[in-house]
Amino acid sequence: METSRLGAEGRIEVGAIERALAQLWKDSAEASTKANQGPVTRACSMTLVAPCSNSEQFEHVKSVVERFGSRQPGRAILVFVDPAAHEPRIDAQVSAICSLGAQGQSRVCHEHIEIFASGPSVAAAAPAVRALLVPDVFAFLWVPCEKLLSHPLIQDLAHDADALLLDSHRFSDPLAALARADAIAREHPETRAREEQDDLEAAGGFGVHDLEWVRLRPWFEAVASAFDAPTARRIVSEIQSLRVEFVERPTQDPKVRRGVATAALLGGWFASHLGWRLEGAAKRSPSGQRELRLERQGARFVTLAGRDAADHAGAILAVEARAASGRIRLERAAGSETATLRVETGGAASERQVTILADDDLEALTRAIARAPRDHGFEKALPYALAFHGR
Amino acid sequence: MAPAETAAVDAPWFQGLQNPFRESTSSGTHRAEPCTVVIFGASGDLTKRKLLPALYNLALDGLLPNPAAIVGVARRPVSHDDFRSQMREAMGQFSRRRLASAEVWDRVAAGLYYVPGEFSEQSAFVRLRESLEQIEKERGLPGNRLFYLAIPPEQIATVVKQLGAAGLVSRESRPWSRVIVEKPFGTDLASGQRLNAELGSVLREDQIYRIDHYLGKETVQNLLVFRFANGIFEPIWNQKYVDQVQITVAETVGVESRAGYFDKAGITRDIIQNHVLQLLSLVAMEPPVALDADAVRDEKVKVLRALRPIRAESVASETARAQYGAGALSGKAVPAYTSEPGVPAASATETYAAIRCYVDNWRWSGVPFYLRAGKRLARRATEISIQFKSPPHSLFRGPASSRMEPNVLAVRIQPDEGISLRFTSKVPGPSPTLQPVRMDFLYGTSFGVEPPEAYERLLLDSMVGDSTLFTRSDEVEQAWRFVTPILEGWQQLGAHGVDSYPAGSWGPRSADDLIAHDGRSWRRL
Repeated sequence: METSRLGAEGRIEVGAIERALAQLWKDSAEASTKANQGPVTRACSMTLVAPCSNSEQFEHVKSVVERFGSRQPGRAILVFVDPAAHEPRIDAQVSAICSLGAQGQSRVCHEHIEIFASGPSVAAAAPAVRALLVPDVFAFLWVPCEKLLSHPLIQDLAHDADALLLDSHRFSDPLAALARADAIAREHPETRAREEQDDLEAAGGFGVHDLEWVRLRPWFEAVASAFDAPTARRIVSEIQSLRVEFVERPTQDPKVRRGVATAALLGGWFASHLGWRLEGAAKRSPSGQRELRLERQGARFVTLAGRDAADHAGAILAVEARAASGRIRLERAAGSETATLRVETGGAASERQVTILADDDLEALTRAIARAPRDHGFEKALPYALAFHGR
Repeated sequence: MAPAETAAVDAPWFQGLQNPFRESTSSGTHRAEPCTVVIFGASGDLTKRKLLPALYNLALDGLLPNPAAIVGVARRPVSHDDFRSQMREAMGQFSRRRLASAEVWDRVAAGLYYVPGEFSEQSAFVRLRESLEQIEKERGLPGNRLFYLAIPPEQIATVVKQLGAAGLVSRESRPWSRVIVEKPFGTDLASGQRLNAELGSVLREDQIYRIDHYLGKETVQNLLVFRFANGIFEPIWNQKYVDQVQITVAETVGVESRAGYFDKAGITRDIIQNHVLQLLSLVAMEPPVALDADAVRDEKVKVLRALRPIRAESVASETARAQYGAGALSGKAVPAYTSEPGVPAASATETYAAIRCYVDNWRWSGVPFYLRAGKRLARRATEISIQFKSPPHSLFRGPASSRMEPNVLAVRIQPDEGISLRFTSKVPGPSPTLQPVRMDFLYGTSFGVEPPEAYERLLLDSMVGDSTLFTRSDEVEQAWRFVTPILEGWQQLGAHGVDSYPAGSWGPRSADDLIAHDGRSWRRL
């Protein structure tokens, strides 16, 4: 990694950042040639902007972004803001991070810019970022810090981005965060333009991606696989209910319990694929279960059944879909990477083991970005999940 | 819970019994049903180098159906366990991700079997049917079968007939049975038609998957995306703007262990009739009405039909053929073709061929397509280059204009899959000095994922039942219809028409002359 620190008194020059990056590319190329490592290849497929206001989270994001760059070369702009500070300060440093390709292949480098802004200078961060976005490729806004999601900086940065990424599981109130992200997406000019044309399904547009949704992928795969056999597919149209069992944990806010959002997203995924019509918000039963009544040619239900536990909050424990002539149940112990899938249709039953291996942050980020800018599956599921907000 | 009405099964999205939950999973609806893959020729190189690694990598990506079985069939007697351990060793050597997950390999190996048998004996097929029925029962498989014939071409028709006679394949669509056939699909038009008829007597056309691994490469698939998902190229993709198209398949290898086959076939049957003409049809085709197998192949076959025939009497002026002599590659001396093991000393088989051809239709009228393929050339490279016409009037005169080169769009298929565009730029400074520069897109560096091997994509497609990337019978026959008169013309000319080139060069003088006659030259790769 080669770094240039661009110390400046209360301001940053975008031109200086660009010049420093150009110099780093030149230095990298020269160093690579001298070391007989082959030519340096500059590839840029995206800009990833990650603003954060918590130093611990900033370091975590930084490490994920650095590793991500070797997978998908582009420009990363990490913005550390401290709005509460009195002293106005804005500063930047740039790096070119290079990784060696396979033998005989070029070195691949990506650009890494860090901007530090505090106090009133936070307002200058968004224009600086805007000027540094690489034209013609997607720009992603990753919001790892919960506090910032409602800060004007995010609204400002989202305006020029193609998608907003968040990891709802890391937030204290995931459904509130998803609702806020959804609101940002609705206010985005691209979304409004599609609304004007009455074509929200059109290509392009602004998208929201939740890494927790991406981590549910093994569950989606396992549930979908239950219906791969033609005999099981025959019960699909007869499914009356879905029950998701999960680990939940109380928080300081009595209205918020950890883990519900993950289960709600899974329920939303299932219901949206069957086209169950959303009629209203979920209700809490006396037993504590959350139940969402949906209608399509008769009542359908998505039930979230939480089980209190200190560990594995949000972990899905079981998914069960029931129809008059059969049922599927996918179940595992908390923390286990193996689940049992039982399919009962037409009087016959089969059982097999499936692997449920959740992605780490880097893998989830990579997969989320691969679906950019919009993940229509997530967009369809989100309204169902938000129906559980506050329940 | 309130009692629910039982919904009518006539909901439109379930009528085709598609799995609605697959729409948003990583494989989407491109997912294979549980099946048995039966590989004939399981002891051969293709099985251990390509087929088993491809199936294992599909399993790593969760794309191999679950449950599935893989059954190897070959002459020599080998136990299931020995076959499994041989294949495990091969994974460590040839899988692109090596043995990335022992757990996944164990799952694949649990469904891996070996059945010995002579392909000429009917009893072997009866035994195979019994074994498959038992395996399918044990593993809960529904009877879907994919047969991969990795066997010498002369055995293909016999094996397919035996499969039909033993009831191993049927024309029924449930459970399905499909057969993958490796090239060559005949040796000329007559034998190609005969093979198609023989396969067609047992199978429906949509059960036959004629594999051309070039079509499974990402860049080749990207040709359709590049042409039809970008608005800027299609308007200039025609005779008004394109000066010439060159398609090159250059290999550094000689005949290796294939002397027996290659010496009978030659480079034209081995590479040009299939790979090169497939690339040509993808470059020159009109936009299909849809991205389905028949719509795409309908357009490809139209291109092959529009190829101006090269009559036997014109082969001397429209083609060049040659054989490599002794030379050097990578600093190492290599022998002449006729000194290679297994090659007759008097062989006149061409190891290099170049053809100038024309696609006689509205779009390509008058644009020459230069095709070349050769062995023991200077470097391994497969490329399609589209050279555009120069500007109608040059503002730049004198030394500046001498460095103006026409724009070239090059699609590299191997190695370093990617696309580059050459254009002219001004060199910084007070004088108007011009210089060609290149913009490069490389698959390897622009995407975070390693592209899958062609066989992975093609095996998955055949399990899914998508034949878009496989060659249809009429394509095969049209390709032979173009190539056969050339082969006949060469035969009439005899060995005297075979030029030579030193191994490690870019081919014979006669090929340079062929293109120089038009005032053009081969692109340096």
